[in-house]
Amino acid sequence: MNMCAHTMKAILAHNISVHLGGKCIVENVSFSVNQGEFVCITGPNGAGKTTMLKALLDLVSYSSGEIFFFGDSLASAVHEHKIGYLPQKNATINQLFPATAEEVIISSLVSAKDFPKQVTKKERQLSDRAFQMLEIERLKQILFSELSGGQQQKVLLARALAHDPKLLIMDEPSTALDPESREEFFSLVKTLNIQKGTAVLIVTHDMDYVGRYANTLLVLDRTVRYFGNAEAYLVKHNMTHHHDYE
Amino acid sequence: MNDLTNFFGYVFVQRAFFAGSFIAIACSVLGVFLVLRKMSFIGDGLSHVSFGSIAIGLFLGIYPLFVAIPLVMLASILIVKISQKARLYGDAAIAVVSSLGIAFGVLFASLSGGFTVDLFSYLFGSILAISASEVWISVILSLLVIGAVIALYWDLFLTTFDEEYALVNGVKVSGINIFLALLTGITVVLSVKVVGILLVSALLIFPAVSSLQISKTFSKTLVFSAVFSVLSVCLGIALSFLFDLPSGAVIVILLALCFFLAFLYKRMRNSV
Repeated sequence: MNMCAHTMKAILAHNISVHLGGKCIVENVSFSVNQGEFVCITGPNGAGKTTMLKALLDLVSYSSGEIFFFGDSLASAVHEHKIGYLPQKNATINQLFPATAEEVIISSLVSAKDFPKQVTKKERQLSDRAFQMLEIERLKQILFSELSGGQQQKVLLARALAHDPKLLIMDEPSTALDPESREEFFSLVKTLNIQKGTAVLIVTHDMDYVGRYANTLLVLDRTVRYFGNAEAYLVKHNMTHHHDYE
Repeated sequence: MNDLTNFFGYVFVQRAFFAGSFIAIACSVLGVFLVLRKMSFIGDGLSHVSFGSIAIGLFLGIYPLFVAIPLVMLASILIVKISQKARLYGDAAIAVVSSLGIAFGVLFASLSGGFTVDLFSYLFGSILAISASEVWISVILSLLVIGAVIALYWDLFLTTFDEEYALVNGVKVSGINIFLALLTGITVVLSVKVVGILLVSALLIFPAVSSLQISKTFSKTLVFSAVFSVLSVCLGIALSFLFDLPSGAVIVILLALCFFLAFLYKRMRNSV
């Protein structure tokens, strides 16, 4: 593949197939995310959306294909702090862990460093900036487990953004949010996307928000059913506001 | 007063306080990570392996802790690997390794002519009988464990809080998990001297669960856990000497008392 073309893309996934337990979950999926683009992955339950995302992040192994981040490997992009990740709410987080919101963000910043992994003024400043960006400074010293669902999601978004990544990857970030928090959340991500040029790749069921915020849509049902302009797809399929894929 | 002055004047008491405090700190700090990872029973499982290893050491006439440390560390890796490769839950992997440890313990105890005084001292702990060389081994290994936790603090923090995110963030999660298991192996063997094989998991778990009742940050959780642990061990040593009671049992009862008081404090704080 042409490496010059790769460097233009935040993500370039080519012919990705994932098999789990002998079953093909994702088959020959190819797509790309340009820098500054807002891409939504959607599709029915069991379509392989989260598996595709996990394959991108090397959380599940893919049986064939190639993935490039900014023209390079995932490890390199992670090492250069180019990727921010917001996992599915409550999927993997230990809710009994007695960490303050600030410790959650600092842990992400420091663990990404080379040894010796010590907290310096820089990490404190980056953490403070992330809290300020999302206007949640008041939550800094509160235990993560004592925050509401919406507040927790904001802290996790602050964690994903603390390194000022060029690409933000999110898996169903709005599932646990009430409609008001959901609106606020998507609006915030879109602002970052426009103002900072952060590329966004998001797995979601909320077609309402896809229509309003995404440039590009990837409809997945094991294979790629559609990949292109989000608005064109929604108009063609008569999907407007308040319409979920399900 | 005179009794107390005499008490602190004994070399074996000083040794017990010195070694006991270091072991208590290592156990309590590591215990917080184990409890939060739902691995509380690994201490219990590995203590059974240390029973088998000590019985092997006594049978072969080798200093038991020298046999126990490598074998228990090996068993701790085995637990991690079995749960990964055989796709078992952690508790099942612990049960497999633990029962094998007891089986070897019973076999070699029987081959050595039954349960001897030596083996009993390991079963129930004998911190007041700790030798000078054992003190140094305990202090050095405890410092190793504490130093490793300090060096890997943020990696341990993130893998315990959110393992998937830690992977995406570039943390070598499988390496961290094995390292934690190895540190647990060392700590379990050290705890055998303080509270005995039968009560090892108490020294790992009680300070952590007590601290989790009252702490408001993770760093404070580690500090409170260490404080509860050192207090219980030192007070337990003193009481067991003054009232001629078994030290291991007294220490565990004090640890349980700390948990009860921390729980009450939390209830009172929440009701205000």
